[in-house]
Amino acid sequence: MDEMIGEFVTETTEGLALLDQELVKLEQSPQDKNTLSTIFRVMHTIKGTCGFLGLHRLEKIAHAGEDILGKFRDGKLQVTPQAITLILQSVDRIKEIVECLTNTGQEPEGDDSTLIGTLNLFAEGGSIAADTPQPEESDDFSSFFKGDDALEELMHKEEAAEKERKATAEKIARNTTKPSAIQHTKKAIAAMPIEQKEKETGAVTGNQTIRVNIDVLEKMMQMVGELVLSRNQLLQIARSAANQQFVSPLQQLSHITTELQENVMKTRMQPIGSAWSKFPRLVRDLSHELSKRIELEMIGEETELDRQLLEAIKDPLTHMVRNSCDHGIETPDVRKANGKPDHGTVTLNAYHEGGHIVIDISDDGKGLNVERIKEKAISNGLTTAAELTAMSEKQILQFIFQPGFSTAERVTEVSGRGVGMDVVRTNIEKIGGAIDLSSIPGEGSKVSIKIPLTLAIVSVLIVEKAHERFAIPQINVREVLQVGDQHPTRLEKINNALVIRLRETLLPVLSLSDILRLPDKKCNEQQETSTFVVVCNSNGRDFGIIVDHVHNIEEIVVKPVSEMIKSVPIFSGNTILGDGSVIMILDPGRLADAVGEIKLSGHKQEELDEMQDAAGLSDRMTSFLLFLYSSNTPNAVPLELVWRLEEIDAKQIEYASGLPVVQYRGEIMRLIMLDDSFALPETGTVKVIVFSYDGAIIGLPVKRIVDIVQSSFDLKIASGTKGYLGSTVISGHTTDVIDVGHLVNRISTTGNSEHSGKSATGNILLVDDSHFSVQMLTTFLTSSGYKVKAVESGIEALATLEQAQGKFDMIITDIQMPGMDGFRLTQACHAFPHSASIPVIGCAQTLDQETLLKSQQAGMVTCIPKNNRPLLLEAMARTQMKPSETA
Amino acid sequence: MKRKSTAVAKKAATAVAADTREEQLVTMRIDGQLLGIPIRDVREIMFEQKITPIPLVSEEIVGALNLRGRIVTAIDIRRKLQLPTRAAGASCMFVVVEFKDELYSLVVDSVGDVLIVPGAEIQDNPPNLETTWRNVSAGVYRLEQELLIILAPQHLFTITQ
Repeated sequence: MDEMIGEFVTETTEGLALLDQELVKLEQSPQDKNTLSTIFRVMHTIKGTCGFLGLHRLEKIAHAGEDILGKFRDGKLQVTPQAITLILQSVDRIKEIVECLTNTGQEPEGDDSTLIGTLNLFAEGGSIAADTPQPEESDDFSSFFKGDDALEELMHKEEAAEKERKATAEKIARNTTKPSAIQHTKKAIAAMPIEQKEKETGAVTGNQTIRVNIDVLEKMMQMVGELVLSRNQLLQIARSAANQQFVSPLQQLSHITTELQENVMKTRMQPIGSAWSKFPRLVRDLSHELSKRIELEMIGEETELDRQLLEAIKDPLTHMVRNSCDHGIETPDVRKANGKPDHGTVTLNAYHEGGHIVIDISDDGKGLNVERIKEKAISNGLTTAAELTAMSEKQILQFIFQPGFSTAERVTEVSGRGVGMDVVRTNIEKIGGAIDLSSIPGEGSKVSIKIPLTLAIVSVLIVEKAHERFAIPQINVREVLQVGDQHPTRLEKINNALVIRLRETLLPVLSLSDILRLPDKKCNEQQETSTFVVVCNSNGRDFGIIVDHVHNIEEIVVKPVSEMIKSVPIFSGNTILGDGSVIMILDPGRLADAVGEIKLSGHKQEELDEMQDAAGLSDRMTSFLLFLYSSNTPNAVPLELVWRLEEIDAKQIEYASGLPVVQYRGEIMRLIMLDDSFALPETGTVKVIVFSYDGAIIGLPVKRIVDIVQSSFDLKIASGTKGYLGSTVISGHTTDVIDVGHLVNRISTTGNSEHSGKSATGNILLVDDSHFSVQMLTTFLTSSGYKVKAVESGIEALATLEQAQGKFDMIITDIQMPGMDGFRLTQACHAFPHSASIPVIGCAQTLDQETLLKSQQAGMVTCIPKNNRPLLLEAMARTQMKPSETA
Repeated sequence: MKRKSTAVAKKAATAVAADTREEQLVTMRIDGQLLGIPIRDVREIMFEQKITPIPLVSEEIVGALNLRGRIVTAIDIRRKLQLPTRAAGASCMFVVVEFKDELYSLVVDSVGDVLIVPGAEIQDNPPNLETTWRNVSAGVYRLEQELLIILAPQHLFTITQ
């Protein structure tokens, strides 16, 4: 491209951006002489330069526009919205031509006579209009052209021109190697209105600024990034090296590098106002189009942001401003009826907050319609009414970020086409940002975007799991907790679903090794006395990630992952750490999705506050799962009997011989009611507690799962009602404890060998760390005729055995126990002559091949699943039949 | 690098005179098999490297490593070709190859000479070549003692399955 044309394009683009802004300003304050003269000067400059360069199309349009502006200045014409619209049209046409000029270096073919004719007509006719002022009400500018088909013709012409322009642009994009460079420069330059203003006011400061190709800056930024990494590497080596002579020069290098980095970053920084410059025009056009009165307020325009980010947020911001105007702000009559001022305000506010930039887009309109969102979410099949009732308003609002979600009652030109907030969120998250939404009905809504200062450098938290390190973006990290026996927070487990209780909520927790399928050291849960949980927030959802270690926070340069790894969406990128090793960056959004599979998320516990147990958990505590059955009185069941918590679609419930069943994991699961007070719903979902007991799997439908609490297991009142063990005091409230054994017996008459009349005898040593299990088994075994001595640890068991000197006939031990486990206890027993011949039966919470093998190696007679009484009796019978009485 | 086989070199040299189209190949061995890759694609040859494993990716990807600030994806040819795994403690080498502006590293047992092979003498895959090999091979070159399989980067750096 001709160098002169290139210069002209950059200058004109700046000028045009300014024109847009100033014209809107002029419309609001028509008497502002300064604004008018700025506009006039810019238009004049464009016209002048065009003539000089032989760009005749541009010159003619600019000339016609200038004519009108000249008449404004001389007071021959009045500044009316119609006039401004007309001039903006000519600005648009100039923009189109300039864009084509950028791509081809030539003026495109085209006919502007209609536009120029209209402009001239206005310049002439307008003078008459100035004598007889227009009536104020004629807001609709097309009425001005009533009877003049020039306008319609003009519209068609413009459409044609638009098509042509697009086609050319596409052609160029295909043929030219680097049109983007030019575009970048153009955009970058367009984004310097403040500087421009200074020049305009006459403070010509000479060659204080130069134009630099954006590619050069980009390259520089990249190099500085690498320099920073190399510096970090050097520093790390220096720290461990004995040679001290490097320390001082290295420190200096370090300082210079930091400074260099800061300065290079500065070159890329632009005030956010440059991304906002088109909004006054946008809002003005929208308010005309929608017949609303909307004011745009912009705060913090000077807040600086990396230009790459600025580009990335432009479209999402535009979309949200459009949304606010279209859906948020009401029409003037509605506003008046609601006692609001007839003009609505859309506010853009940008500010720094903790190393990030926050941009709030708020309006004082009607707010989001939660009810409509609910309806829409159900009709789109995103959720069910039952699920909705459990959701907080904030969670419900999140639905508008789902693809294809629009609550606009009608599809308008402006918005409501179903592509929207999901794209906005995707774009924001792509640049490592987060988006939040709040709304007050009748008062307005607010969208907050939180984005990093720069894309190039991100701060991440380095965590470690299974000896592998991973990075989590700092923006998503809420807090880091240490959990374990020595800490106030503990990991609690409902089979495979891990949760922690964090303040008032049950927080779902994920193990990083599960998600990433890392080789988890099969260490005993109990031995893991302390571990870390990183509490993250993404997609409006809080969740925890279990890691082994939490390292430092590092500033890193994000690099895209290789093509071959792109298929694994959980990694948003990778980078090189200070020590030179590669690390993968986790995508918190994907982690949050993984949590979605656990349905326990975020139960607010308002009703539970009163029953939250106080501190002072002693080691004699049993974990209970609290739930509401039909009433609002909580029931409890020992957690160790709970196999899983499920949510079952009510439609899946079938009836076999009049009893509800459901297909569950390839088997048929009976659903059991405690009493008649609970009615299974026809639609929606049912929460079901699944028990595995005495070898059967049964489900107990409940109204709500409340919490897991620690409480001592003391039955205060033995129950008279079948199905209940009795009542106990949990957190100061009397709570009924369910007798799962009874429930199971109700369905399986055959499995009940408990009272089969066979009277057994023998002295049994029962070893189990669970107080509850001990109580259950002692009662059961005693009623079966055995004498039971129960102890709660392996050490205690050994001591008892030594004292008893062969008095026991059998040992029944839990496998998983803190300190000495069942295997080691068995081996220890067999090492002492007084207990070497006593048969040992192991009980395992989860009985897999490995456990079976280990139990054989340890010398157990057999190993059976825990809480399966028929199997236990059977095993005991088999054991006693063996000629072990030789002892 | 020292020439291993002077006969090959002579042969190559004579071929050069006859046919200007020639292929310079970096040779390497995997489970006894000789492989070659065009030298223009090779960026670097390295010894033992610190590798960061990447979870969840397909098996052939060993992990990622750092080559002067660029991240390189390491691919074990043995895994890619479903060959027996390298004996524990056995040394390996890294051949860094650039493909579509990205760096990949082939993890091989050893790296040999650079061979100059006349383009005209590179033959199509023999029909009885196993499918796993055929999938990564761009052709074969007959040496006096053995066959040299020429690797095709476009097939190496796409995920199997």
